[in-house]
Amino acid sequence: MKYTVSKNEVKNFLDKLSASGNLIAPVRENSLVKFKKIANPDEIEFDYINSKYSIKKYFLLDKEVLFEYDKDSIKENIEEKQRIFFGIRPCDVHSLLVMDKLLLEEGMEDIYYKNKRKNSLIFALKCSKSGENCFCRSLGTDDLKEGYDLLFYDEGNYYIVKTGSEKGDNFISKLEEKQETEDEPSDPLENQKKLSQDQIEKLRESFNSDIWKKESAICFSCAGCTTTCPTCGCFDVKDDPDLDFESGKRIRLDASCQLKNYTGVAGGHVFRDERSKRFKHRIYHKFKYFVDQYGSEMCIGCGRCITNCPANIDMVKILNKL
Amino acid sequence: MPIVNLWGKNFEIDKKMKNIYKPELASVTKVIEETEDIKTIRIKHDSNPKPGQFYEVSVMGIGEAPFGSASYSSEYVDLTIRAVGNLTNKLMNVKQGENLAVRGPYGNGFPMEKFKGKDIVIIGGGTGVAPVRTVIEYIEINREDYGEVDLFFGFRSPEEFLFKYDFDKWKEIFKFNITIDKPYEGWEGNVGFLNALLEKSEISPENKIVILVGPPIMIKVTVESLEKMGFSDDQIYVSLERMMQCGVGKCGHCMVGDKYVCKDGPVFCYETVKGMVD
Ligand code: SF4
Ligand code: SF4
Repeated sequence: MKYTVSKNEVKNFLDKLSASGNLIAPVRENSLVKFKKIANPDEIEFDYINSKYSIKKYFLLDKEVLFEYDKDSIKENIEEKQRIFFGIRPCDVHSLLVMDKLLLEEGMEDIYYKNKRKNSLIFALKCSKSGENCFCRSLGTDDLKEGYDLLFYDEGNYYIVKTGSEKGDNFISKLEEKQETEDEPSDPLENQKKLSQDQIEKLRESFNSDIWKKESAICFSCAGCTTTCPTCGCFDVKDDPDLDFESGKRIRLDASCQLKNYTGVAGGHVFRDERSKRFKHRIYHKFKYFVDQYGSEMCIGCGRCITNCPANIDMVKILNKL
Repeated sequence: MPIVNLWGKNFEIDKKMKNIYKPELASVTKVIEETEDIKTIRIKHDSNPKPGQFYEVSVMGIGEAPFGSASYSSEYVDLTIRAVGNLTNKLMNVKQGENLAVRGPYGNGFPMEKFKGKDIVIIGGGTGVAPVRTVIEYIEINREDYGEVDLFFGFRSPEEFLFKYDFDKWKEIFKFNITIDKPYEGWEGNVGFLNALLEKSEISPENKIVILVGPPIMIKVTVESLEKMGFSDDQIYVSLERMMQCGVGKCGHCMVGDKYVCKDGPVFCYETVKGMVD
C-alpha cells in the first residue's frame, strides 16, 4: 500500500518511536553522518548522502561474543532487543539482503545475525540526491521491492510511504493524517557512476590480466575498503580468556581479506601473500564468486570503498577499464 | 499509545535451531600415542562422519582448529593430532575420561558412492595418512563395493609411522606399500619418496580412482608421477588445507576462487583444483 503523509505527521511518528528508546537513525556529528540511538527526533539528519559507515555493525558486531565458557560448560547468550531503524538508504537495505543470502542460508543459519535481523524493523528512506561515488542505479539497488517494513520517499512538502510488511501496516494504521495514493514517487537520482553488466561479465576473462598488478601497486592493504563496505562480513574467531584461564569468552572479530594474515596457515605459509592477489580477490568475490554462489553481486553500489580509500582507488574505474 | 506495542513480542529463537558456532562436549575414551609428537584422541561421538570430513576442536582459552576424522564409525571419532603449536600442544595433555569441545562433521568428504565398482589407490604422506584411514575403514566395511585396493604410505622414518597396530590387518585385505624417506637402521623395506615407489609399482590407470592426501609439495610431485603413469586429473581426488576459522562457509578465510575449502571441500577432484587459483 502507498500513502501520502505530511511531514508533521512523520515527525510526530518519530517522536513516539524515539520515546520507546528503540529508535536508531542518522545523526550528523561534526561532518560525519552515523546511525545512533535517538532520544529526540530533532537529532535526526534527513538531508544526507549516506552515512560514513553502514548499519552493518548493528547486525554483525565488530566484536561479538559467541558464547561464554568455564571449566565444565558452554553458555551462549542470545538475548537481543527490538530495534527500529529509520532512515536507512535503499542500497544499505540491499546490503542486508545480500548478507542474508550468506548468513541465513537454510540449515546453516548464523543464529546471532538471525536474531538481530528478526528483531529489527527497517524504515527506509529513499535518497534525494546521489553522492559522487554512488552507482546503485547500475546495480539496481537504488530502490526497494522487498526488505523494508516502511519505505519513505521525500516529495518536498510531504512523504509518500510504502508499506512492505504486516508490521509496517500496523504502524501506518496508527497514523491519523494519511491518505492512500496511487501516485508514483519521484525519482531524483542522477549523475551517477556507471557500471554495466557487460563490463562486469568481462571479469570472467580478466583473471590473468596484468591490470590487477598495475592497479593494486598503490594500495596500502589498509582494509579501509572492506571495513566500510556494508557487505563485507568476514570475521576471525578468537578466545578471550579471563585471568583465571578457566573461564572466558569465544568472540568473533572483524577480519579483512586485504590483510596478509587472512590466508596464513600454521607453519607460516600465506596463500595470498601478494597484494595484487588480495586486491583481485575482493573484486572477484564481489562481482563474480558471489554471483556464481548466491546469484547476485555482493556489492550494492554505495561507493564507500571508493570514498574511504586513502589511495583513491576507484573500483568502478578499474572495472570499466577491463 | 505506546507505538512500540504494535510490534508484538520479541522474535523467539527456535531452541532447536542449531548454533553453528557452538561446540558440544564429547568424552575422551582413549588416547593412543602414535609417535613422539602425534597422538590419536578417540572421542565418543555418534555423528558418523563420511570419509574425509573434519571436526573443529576447541581448546578453551586458545581457540579452535580443524582436524580430519581418522576413523569411520558410528560410535566414536579418532582425531590424530601432531603437536605443532599452542592448541595442539595443549591437546597432547588430554586424558581419557576428560571432555573435548568439538563441532562437526563438516565438509563434503570423498564421494565414495561415486567410486563404487572402481579399483582404489590410496596414497597418504605423513599425517595425511590420518584422513585416508577413514577411507580405508569405510572400504573394509563395504569391501564388496570396490575392486582392488592399493595402499601407498610414506613416512619420514619408522619412528613416524601412524596406525602401526592396523598394518597387519591392512596387509591381509589390501595391497600394502610403505616407504620411508631416508635409510634407517634395521629397516629392510622401501626407502625413497612415495612417488618413486608409486612409479615403480607400474599400476595401470584403468578403472582406478586415486585418493591422495599429504603436504602440498608431496601432492604436487605425486600428481606429476600419476600423470606420467597415464592417470588423468579427473581420476585423482585430494584433500586441501587452508586457513579456516568457522568451518561452515561464513568467515571467508578458506575461499579459493569461488570455492570454500570448508564446505565445498576439503575434498576436490584434481581437475577442479587446477582451476582454483588465488
Ligand atoms: S582502502 Fe584502498 S588502500 Fe586500503 S586496502 Fe582498500 S583498496 Fe587498498
Ligand atoms: S564494494 Fe564498495 S561500492 Fe560495493 S558495497 Fe562495498 S563499499 Fe559499497
